[in-house]
Amino acid sequence: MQIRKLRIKVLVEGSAEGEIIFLDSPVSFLGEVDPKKGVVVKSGKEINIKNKIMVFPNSRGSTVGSYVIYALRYYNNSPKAMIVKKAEPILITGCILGEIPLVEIMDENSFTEIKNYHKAIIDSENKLLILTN
Amino acid sequence: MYLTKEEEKMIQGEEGPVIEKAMKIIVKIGEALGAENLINISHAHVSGLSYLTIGEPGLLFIKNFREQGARTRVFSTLNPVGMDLQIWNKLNISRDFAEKQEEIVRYMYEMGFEESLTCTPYLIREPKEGEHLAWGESSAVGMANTYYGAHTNREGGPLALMSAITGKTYNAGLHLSENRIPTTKIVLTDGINLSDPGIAGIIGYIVGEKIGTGIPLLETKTSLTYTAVKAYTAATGASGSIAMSVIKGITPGYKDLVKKIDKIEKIEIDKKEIQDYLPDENIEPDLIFIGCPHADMDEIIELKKILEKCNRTKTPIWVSTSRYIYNKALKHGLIKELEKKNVLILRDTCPVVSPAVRGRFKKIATTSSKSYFYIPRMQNSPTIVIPFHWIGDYACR
Repeated sequence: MQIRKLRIKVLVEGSAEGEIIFLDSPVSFLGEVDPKKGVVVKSGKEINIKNKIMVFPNSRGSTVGSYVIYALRYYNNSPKAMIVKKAEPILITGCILGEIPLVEIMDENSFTEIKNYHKAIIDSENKLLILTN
Repeated sequence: MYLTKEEEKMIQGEEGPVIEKAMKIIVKIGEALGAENLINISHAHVSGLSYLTIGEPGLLFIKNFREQGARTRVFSTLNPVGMDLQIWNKLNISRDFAEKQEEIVRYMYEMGFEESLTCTPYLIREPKEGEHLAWGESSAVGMANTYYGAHTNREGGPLALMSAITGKTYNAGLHLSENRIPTTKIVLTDGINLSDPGIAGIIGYIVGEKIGTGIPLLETKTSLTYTAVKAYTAATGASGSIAMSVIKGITPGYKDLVKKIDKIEKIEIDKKEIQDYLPDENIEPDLIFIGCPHADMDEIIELKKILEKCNRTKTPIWVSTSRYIYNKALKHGLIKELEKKNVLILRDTCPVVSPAVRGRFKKIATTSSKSYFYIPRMQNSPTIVIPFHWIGDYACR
């Protein structure tokens, strides 16, 4: 079993653990996320994020994105947590209202390593992300 | 976070539960972003109002604040909604949708918001250099910071609503001068037609894609026009998460900002990259759309000039604009002139946040790179981006 620990900055508190869904491009919540289905849509493909640990570099696009994240919670389709390289106000607002834990990876260069792991555990108290395979 | 006595009272519920709730949300967001205190704002602009984009959850969120008696405390404006409130029934909009949309608008008006319904709030109230705003709507945020030298972050729609009813926002991000220094220099090769807003928008689109986040620095040989800056900033906020650019000859305090640069990255954009975005000459769009962001007077006048050379247009043209600009154009006889040429002028909305274009067009040609990003994603409609000066070619065949 492989294990890796990364230091994180906690933006929206909460512990979470689950299967990693790694997206390597920025996500525009308005236009690229369907809150009624709980999926990210990229190039016509639907990627399920419900109950997953959603990992992506950053959010982009519309300020309405906060409402889309809130809607994920409303429709009971939210990811268990979100992990990003850099969080912006739109994302933070949405996660606060949607009660979705949100963390930033402290060492940006380690971000892509997350791709190699299957499961993530967010330890908010110790500010650690534990990755396992 | 440090709070003043007044702010303490607000957050402890002494001004009622809705102020308490709003303050708690602002403080929570502020703390996540490292804000040490709150600041007062002079203008709030709220996005997230189209029933298409926010749906039931968004409507209920807004309704909740309305029913608890929320009222705006500062000059507060609204973003476009999902339809033209006057002619929605001619636009493929169902009665059910219209009722829900009207409900949202009613709640906002009842809370004291200005009758605005536009993504160009800076045309209604011009931001002053250095003043603090809380604006949603990424394109307007780009203009506020880049063109007017005001201070706002790319706020989520809900946060802007909280700021409208409290008059406060968190003091972090672009509210702080040290965060407004350029991070990436954009070098444009020769031969790029910067005066065309369609081209300026493509540049913004490429910048947003290439750098994602940060503050681009643009030093162009010829100055960008107002409409070009508008198109450029809108695109950077769509394909990227850019809230501010520093443009020579445009951004207030440009010299001081450039002086403060410590390290800066560089990216180059050449003419060919821009041309790659343009369609083949034999493409036949079945709709031409301009007005994302909402058309200003210059665009309307320019469109009229272009169409003067047509007897009647073959391809329908839709223009999205604000009621504010529409009324100005009406006074100058421009609306009549455009309608004679088969142009549909929409107020209060745009094809990005309205179901009006959905399933109706095979190929939409737009001068807006922001729309080029969103229309395919939001409305599943194939969209191409064109320079403004190509409109005549497509419209008047």
